[in-house]
Order: sequence, then structure tokens, then C-alpha cells
Amino acid sequence: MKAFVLGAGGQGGPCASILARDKEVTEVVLGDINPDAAARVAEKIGGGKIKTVKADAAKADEIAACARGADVLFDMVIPEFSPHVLRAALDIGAHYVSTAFDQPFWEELIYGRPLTLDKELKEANLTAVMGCGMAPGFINVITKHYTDRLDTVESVKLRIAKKKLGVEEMLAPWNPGWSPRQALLDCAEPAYFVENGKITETAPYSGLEVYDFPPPIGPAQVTHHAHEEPLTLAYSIGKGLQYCDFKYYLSPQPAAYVTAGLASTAPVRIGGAEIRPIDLLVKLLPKSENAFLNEDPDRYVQADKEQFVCLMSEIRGTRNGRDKTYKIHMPKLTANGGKLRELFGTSLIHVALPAVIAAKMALAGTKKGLVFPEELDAADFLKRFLDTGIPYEWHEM
Amino acid sequence: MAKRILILGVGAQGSTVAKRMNEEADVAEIVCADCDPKAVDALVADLDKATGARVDARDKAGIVAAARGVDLIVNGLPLAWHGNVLDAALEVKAHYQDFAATDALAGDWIESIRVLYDVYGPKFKAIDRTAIVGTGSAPGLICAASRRAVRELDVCETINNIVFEGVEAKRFLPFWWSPVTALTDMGERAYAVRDGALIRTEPFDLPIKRFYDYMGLDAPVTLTEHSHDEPVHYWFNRETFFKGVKNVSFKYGGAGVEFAKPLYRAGLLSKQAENVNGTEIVPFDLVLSHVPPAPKYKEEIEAILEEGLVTDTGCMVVEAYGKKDGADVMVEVHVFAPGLADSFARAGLTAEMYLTGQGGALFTKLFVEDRYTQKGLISSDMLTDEQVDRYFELAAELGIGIRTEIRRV
Repeated sequence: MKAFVLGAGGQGGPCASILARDKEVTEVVLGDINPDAAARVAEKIGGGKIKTVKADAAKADEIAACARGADVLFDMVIPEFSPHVLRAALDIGAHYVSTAFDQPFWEELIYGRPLTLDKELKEANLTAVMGCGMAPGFINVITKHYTDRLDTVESVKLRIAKKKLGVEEMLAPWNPGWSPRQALLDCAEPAYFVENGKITETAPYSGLEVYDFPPPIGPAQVTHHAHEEPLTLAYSIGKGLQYCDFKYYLSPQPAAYVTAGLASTAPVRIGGAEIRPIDLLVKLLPKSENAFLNEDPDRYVQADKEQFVCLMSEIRGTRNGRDKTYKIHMPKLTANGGKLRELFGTSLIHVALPAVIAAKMALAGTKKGLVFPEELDAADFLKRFLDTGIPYEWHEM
Repeated sequence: MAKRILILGVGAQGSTVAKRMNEEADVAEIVCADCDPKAVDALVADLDKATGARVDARDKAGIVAAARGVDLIVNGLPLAWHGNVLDAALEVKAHYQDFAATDALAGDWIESIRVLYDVYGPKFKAIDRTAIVGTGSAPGLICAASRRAVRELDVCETINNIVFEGVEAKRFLPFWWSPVTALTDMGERAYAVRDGALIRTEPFDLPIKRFYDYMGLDAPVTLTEHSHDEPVHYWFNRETFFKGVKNVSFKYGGAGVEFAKPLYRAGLLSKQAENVNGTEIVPFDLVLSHVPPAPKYKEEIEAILEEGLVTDTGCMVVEAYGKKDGADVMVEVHVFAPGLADSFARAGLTAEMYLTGQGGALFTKLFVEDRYTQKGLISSDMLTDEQVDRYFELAAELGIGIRTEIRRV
């Protein structure tokens, strides 16, 4: 496989690192608008497979020129650029994988319109796997793995929580770990869920409930959150799905910003000045840092003791005429950092590794056109995932 | 002899004191004064002992004119105007009461409080009158509770004043009092006493957790440093009223704190202008423009209650650690007061208005009962034991109770 990875940030770096250590991959080209950043990432990865190039994600032609010859184009930039990157993949005849997506695909899923470039990709015999990171991505595949066992699916509830044990750093400003602007916009956007089989819009931070996560997280407040999963699962799962939502743990910092209107992009006048609140907020918040470059292996053991992430998929349906519920617990994908670093050169594989698996499945032959993670063969995906040697288990509760 | 009282500022605190004093047999007249004639008229219409006056607090002569002949001035005005009100009280030889210590008498708040004690104190003493500052709920009620706790000790080492305001509406309403004041307090470095010295601490820092079963919550609440009057007053009075206390903290938590903490962390409570894409903007002003005012009128409060509350709980606790008969002990005084729903049912008020206004009115009532034997200027932490006991007797009549627990540690 020849791979082109666009974006040398917190996800692009791990993606290139995984690919560079994969025997099936002969070449990795890492493109970024900031060639110095790409060079630093390549230097950290090392080995002879990786090259870097300057590429602007807003320009499909430029991406295509840089990526020509690649079998797969990995889209690791923020979702607003997805249409350009996807166009570039089509133009050079490469398969495409992203880890998140936004418009126009959301509206197309909500209103049942044809998906952008789906027809053209099919005609070109190409696969574009949309949103195949951790969530969306891995969580969709796991969900599909269990809905495959059911005759009918009544509901799918997806829940994510994080918890840091020990003394909280009370004075640290909010740092989502990636683009603060994009994270704020996600938090401020209306969320969508499926109710009575129909996609329904709801306000951000609505649907507050306490969900009982496995220890050490335990009961945690969760609310609706704008995410891809309810849209794609409603599109793909079938089996009479009536209800599907995605609820995220209530993080007080972005919640306060959004609730007070400080993440708004609508201009407001204060005194004689006009400003978009989010512009001031983003200026004041810490800049996003490259987690891949700043990764500290000495913290792996401590991080496993203190920092927890939990994904839950709760699936209700029927099998052979009887009610059946699966409650699947997916613990932190970045645990056992030392082993992950040995396998992939980094512990930060939670988003990138599912993308790499999806790319391999696209190359091996799967559905053509725009494909969502749950449309991949779940059993094959999970086998490939575990065959990497990753020390990971999910649990049926 | 029945008293004549001037209420200056008829906001939440002043109007509550006026209403309460209207019920007192020993109050002959209440002069309600404010720069807003509509607010004055609305209050006067409800009170049979009240007359109204329009007063601009920037004009001391106007305050003096309104205060001529009154026994007591209750100052519910913003801190900036307290100097004028204090001077007017001296001029008309009236007693004086306010709800928080002003920062307007010197360039620094601590120096301003020192001026209150050292400059205004002797002046009030010279005219044989009493001035008492900081008489709401906190400072005020909690200071009386602190004195009640320290009474149980021979030597006091540490005092924690703990306040958790857990009244949270379903609608976006982070503060039940002035958002300007709340956000200013939240953005300031706090005061604390450590090893006998007055120090500054970071707001939202040094968290403690407490669990009180009567709050009806599943988990402990978190309380952090917060800029407030109490540590400063206790520091000034550490030897005379607090048995040599070495450490004092004001610990605060609740919905407003949870809202303000991320803003502080992001620098959004700063009053320094930022340049954003060529536009100068003060972060504090942007935040303030997005925060709704506290509900004031009965109809507003009723609407909030009808929409529903997320939580209606809270606590006010004094922890005093020290020695008693040679043993290490901790005295805990819990203050119990009506929540929002109960406050509204009792008086048409929010819990914040109820506790602060009624807490203040009880200090006024001590005036009406001629309980103040001190001449000069005192703060609410300087009551005698008898005054503290009377204060809580009166508080109990309003549904504000205390429970004292003493434990070896």
C-alpha cells in the first residue's frame, strides 16, 4: 500500500506512525500546510518509508498533485475540508478514509439526499470510508457487530465518558486536546438523534441524564452531543431501528461557554465594538498542541492509573422473537501505552488505527462509494484490528 | 422610643429590611430612598410606615437631607457610595448599618477596611453611635455563626467559612444576585489567613470536599477559594474576637462557581482589553453581556419555579478547629435556611434575597431592640455572645436555624 496522510497533527502523526511500521505499506507521504510540522512528525517516526510535502487541505487540486500515486488517501484534517480531500482522492483514483465528517454529508443524511460523490466513487470502483476513527468509527463497528446478531433493532444508545482520578488541576484552562475552535463548534451545534425512526434535531446539552458507566467512572451526567453516529446508524443499520442517540459526558468548561453564548459565531456589539464571541474565546484558550510530538512515554503507567475513557453501546432488539439487550463496554483504546508504542510507535492510536484498518479493507475490496464504518464487515474489521497485536478487549456487560 | 429608619437603596437587601421593619411595633417611620423613584414608589405603596425620597448617593447633602431626624441609616447602596453615607450618618448623628465592607475609602480594600475601623470607628464613638458593617448573610449571618463556633474553644487555630449555593434553575441563570458583583468576586484573587498573616490565594484553587446528608446529594460537594470579606475581618479581629486564630478561609461552591470557573480559567473574567482581529474588547464585558440579571420580581421568580429547578439545595457551615480543655476539637455550626421554593412560599423572595435580606434585617432588629452596647464601628463578627444568641433567637423565628456539633479531632 502507498498511503498519503493529509494532516500532521494529533491524529495524522499516529496514522503515519502506524503505517510506517506496517509491512504491507511501502510508502507514506505526509502532507500538511505547515511543512515544518510534517517534518518534525516524520523525524519522530523515523525509518525510510516516510516523506513529507506541503499540502493545503482547502485545495483539491493541490492535494491531488501531492497524493498522486497513492492507493489510499487518509483525511486527517478538520472536517470542514472533507469535500476537498474526498474530491482529490477521486481525482487520483485512490480510496479515502476520514475519521470525522461534517457538511454536506450531515444534511444529506438528515434529509435523505444523495451523498456527495457517492455515485462518482462507485463508478470509479473506489471506497470512501467516512468517519472511521474511535467515535465515530470503532464504536460503530462494535455496534454493528452486535446488531448483526439481532433480527430487529429497537434502539442504540451510545455513551462516552472520561474521568481523571486524583487531584484535579483546578486552575488549568480548558484544552480539548485538538482544535479548540472545532471542539467548541461541535459542542455548540444542534445534536441529532433518532426518535420513532426519524432523525430529530435537539439543542446542545439537552437530554441530560445520569448514565451508569462501569467503574472507575461510575455514574456520570451525559447529554446529547452533535456527532455522526446517530445519522449514519439510522442510514445503515436498518432492522426497524426506532431510537438512536449519542450522549457525551458533561464537561463543565465547554458547557459553560456554550450555555452563556460565548462559543457563538454570531456577531455581538459590546460598547462600540462588534465581535464574534468564539473569536475572543479561542484567542484566550491555549492553542492546540501536537499530542503526538509531545507524547511522554514516562507517563503511560501513571495515565493508565489516573485517566479513564469509556465508550458504551447499549443495543436493544429481538432475536428469535425474544427481547435481547447488549451492553458493550469499550475501555480506553490508548491503555497499555508501552505495548502500543512497541507496536505502532505511539500510544495515541485510538483514532488512527481504526482508520488504517478501514483502509486495508477498502483495498482488499468492500462496498464501493461512500461507506460508513458500520457498513464494513464488522467481524473482518475486528479480526484485523486484533491481529495487529493490540492488547485490547471490549466487554459484554 | 419608636425608631425612624432610612433605607438607602431599595434593591433586594434594602427592600427586604424595609418590609421586615414595617412589621416592627418599635419602628415609627421608614424612609425609603433610592435614585430610582419607581422602585421607591413600588416599595412605599406596600408599606404603611414608609415614606419615599429620591436620593442620588453621589450627593452627600441629599443623603443628609433624607437622613435628618432618623435613628438609623441602613445602607444598601453599591460599595462606591459608602463614604458619602458614612459621612452623612456622622453628620446627622445616626446609627449606621451596611451589607459589605466598602473598598472606596482607600486605594486598597484592606486599607479601606482599616480606615473603617480606625478612622470611622472613633468618629462614631465620638457621637455615641454604633456603625455595623457587613450584615447580610455572608458576611453577616455567617460571622455571627463563626462567633458562635469559636465560643466553644479555648484557643482557635483554623476557621473555614463554607457556603454552597446549589439552587439551579432549568433556565440559564447562573447567579441569583448581581452578575457584575458575582463575576467580579469570582475573578479576584481571594483573601485567606495563613499562620496569622493575611495572604492572597488563587480563586477556584485549594479545593476541599464536604458531604452533608441534609443537602440531599449523592456525592460530596467541592468548595474552593473565593474572594470574600470574612477572612479579612477575622484577621483584623483575630486576637480580640477569634481567640488567636491562625488560619481562615472562605470556601465557596455551587452552580455559580461551576459556571464561573471555566470563564476564569480561560481569562474571560479579565477586565484588561484584548485585541481580537483588530477589535479591542474587554472579556469581562463580553461575558456580562451574555449573563441574565438575577430575578427580582415575584412574577419572574414564579415563572422560574414553574419551569422547574435542577437542584434546590445548599449549605452554610462554619468549621472552627482549636483546643478545648487541652484537647483538639472541631466545632461545626450548620446554618439551615429556606431554599428557593420555601423562600418564595414564605416571602415571595429567592433564597438569596431571603437569606441576605432577612440576615440583614436581623441586625437591624438588634438596633430596634437597642441591643448594641458598642459605640464606634464594628463588623458583624464583633457581636457580644449575648447579641449572637439574640440574633439566632430572632433568626429562628424566620426559619433560619443553627446546629452546633463539637467533635474531637
